[in-house]
Amino acid sequence: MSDPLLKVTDLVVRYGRHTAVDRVSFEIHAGETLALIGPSGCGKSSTALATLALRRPAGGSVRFEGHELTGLRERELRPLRPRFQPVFQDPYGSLSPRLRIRDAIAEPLRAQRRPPATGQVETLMETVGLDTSLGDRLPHELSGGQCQRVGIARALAGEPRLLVLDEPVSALDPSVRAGVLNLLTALQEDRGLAYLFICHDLALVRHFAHRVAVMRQGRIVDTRPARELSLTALDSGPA
Amino acid sequence: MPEPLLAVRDLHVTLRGGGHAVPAVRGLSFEVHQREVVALVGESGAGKSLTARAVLGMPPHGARVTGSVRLRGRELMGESYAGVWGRRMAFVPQDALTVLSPVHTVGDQITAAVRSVAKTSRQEARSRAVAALDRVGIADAARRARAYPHEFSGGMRQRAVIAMAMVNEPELVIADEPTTALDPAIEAQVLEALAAAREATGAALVLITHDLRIVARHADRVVVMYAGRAVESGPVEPVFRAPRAPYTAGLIASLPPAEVDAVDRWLPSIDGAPPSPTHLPRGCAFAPRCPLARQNCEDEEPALAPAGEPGQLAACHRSTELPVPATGLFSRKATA
Ligand SMILES: Nc1ncnc2c1ncn2[C@@H]1O[C@H](COP(=O)(O)OP(=O)(O)OP(=O)(O)O)[C@@H](O)[C@H]1O
Ligand code: SF4
Ligand SMILES: [Mg+2]
Repeated sequence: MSDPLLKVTDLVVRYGRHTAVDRVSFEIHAGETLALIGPSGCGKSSTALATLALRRPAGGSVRFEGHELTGLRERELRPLRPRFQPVFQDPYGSLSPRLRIRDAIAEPLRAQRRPPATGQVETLMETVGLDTSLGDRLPHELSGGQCQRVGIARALAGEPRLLVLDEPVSALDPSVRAGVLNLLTALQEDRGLAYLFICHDLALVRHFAHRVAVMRQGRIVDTRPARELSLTALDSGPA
Repeated sequence: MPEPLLAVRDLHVTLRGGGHAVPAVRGLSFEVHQREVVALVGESGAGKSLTARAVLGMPPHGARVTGSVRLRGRELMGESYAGVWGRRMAFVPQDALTVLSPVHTVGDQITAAVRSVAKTSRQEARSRAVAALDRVGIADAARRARAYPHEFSGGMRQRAVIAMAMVNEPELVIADEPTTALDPAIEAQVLEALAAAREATGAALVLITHDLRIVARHADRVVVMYAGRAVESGPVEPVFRAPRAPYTAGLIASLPPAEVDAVDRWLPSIDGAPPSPTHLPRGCAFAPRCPLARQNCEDEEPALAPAGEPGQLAACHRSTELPVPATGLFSRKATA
């Protein structure tokens, strides 16, 4: 098997004296979805933030495409960031309220001092199923599902290899949810994207992920193929 | 059929937004019978919470409410809710902190709720409060009653609110997304606490949720709302097995299947998004997203009428052609 795209080893995240993530290890290959599940407060989001180099871990290693991310300065991380991108739960909260959709999508490229080529933003909008006429609107003028597509388009702008999806559909209406998940599936099949997928909904996890890691009190207590996940995995299972 | 416990007829709730009338609930009718659990499902903006607030006699400021709300035949619309509120009808909100005061202990607040409707001694009221906490599964209830809301976890707070709603043994409880903020294990505990309290008191329940799996597990009947109206209602089993409104069919089809198909990772999805209440289509509100829409759907809004099994109603011009296998009805690819 080829080298994993992401290899996290013995990751530790602390808030003051509290250890939120305690020696967590996992890997994700290109084209693969690893789901992280577990009760509220068990450390899923903290793991995601450390993986994204948005929170400095207290220990362990995060290797992404052969680069060791822990210990890099922001200046050194900057050229790598477009390759691993977050999509967060709250579609409105993750967009700047005063930035037009077109500019919100181009923003990560501008931050890289790589202003988008003519038509690139429109292409991204089409990729995620957004009507390009929405480009001039502000986030509050879009629906939740449209905003979440903007978030995905933004993440795609720098041609990422890995998306970290923290509850990407939980805030969406049920009739809109399946469409966003199908979009993520299509992008994975077309481009071989890898996903770290955090989700409370076990039925969705079983459907969408390839493998599942179960977290409890900061540790991964079980990893298994998604199809072998029982829908009561969070109530029972190893304590 | 005995007289329903709650009968809501032609309920309209109109808000004002930016100088315009916003028709948020548009002619909703449903009934709840004694001891029954009726789920009100629909997406955000469908009008579920406004319906709850109108039925409870506490619509938002400036809202215009018309129609009829009868509790055991007695009209409540435009009448005083004195003697109804807390005693015959109670409310469980999504966020416990909107009804629990941070500066009083949980036990004191439930005790006060008891004494607000009945002349009982403080001790008697206190022991009923503790019993109510015990009934929703709060261990060591007498001691925990002395805690403040912030000393409880989210799930415990929600159970405390259920205890408070149930302590006066109301006939009807309206719970608005009571578990949406909780993770699945805690959600299951809270729903069980609600069911236990309901069994013990014999209360009927209107359960507002957008989670169809909760409906399947906990409700007897379901009302599916879309853009301020009921598009389908009836006993849960036939509605889920053979929905007669395309919107219901799409919602059910987009749930991940119980059996995981190794090959097929696509979920049937409903393209587009719900309409804004200020820009409703002229005819059927679902027409812009409906794979079965025809010309007359865009001209004429369908009325709720019997369709399918006894007790099942649907608002769709083509309900007699349904059910078709819903998985074939909606696209299974990423929407472009
Ligand atoms: N900024 C912070 N400062 C202090 N403690 C924090 C902070 N962020 C998280 N924690 C704590 O770290 C632990 C793990 O939190 P985390 O947000 O990673 O959980 P989670 O699994 O994502 O939970 P949820 O399912 O509720 O989103 C929790 O005990 C939480 O209270
Ligand atoms: S009335 Fe027409 S548009 Fe509305 S749900 Fe039925 S078929 Fe679809
Ligand atoms: Mg989280």
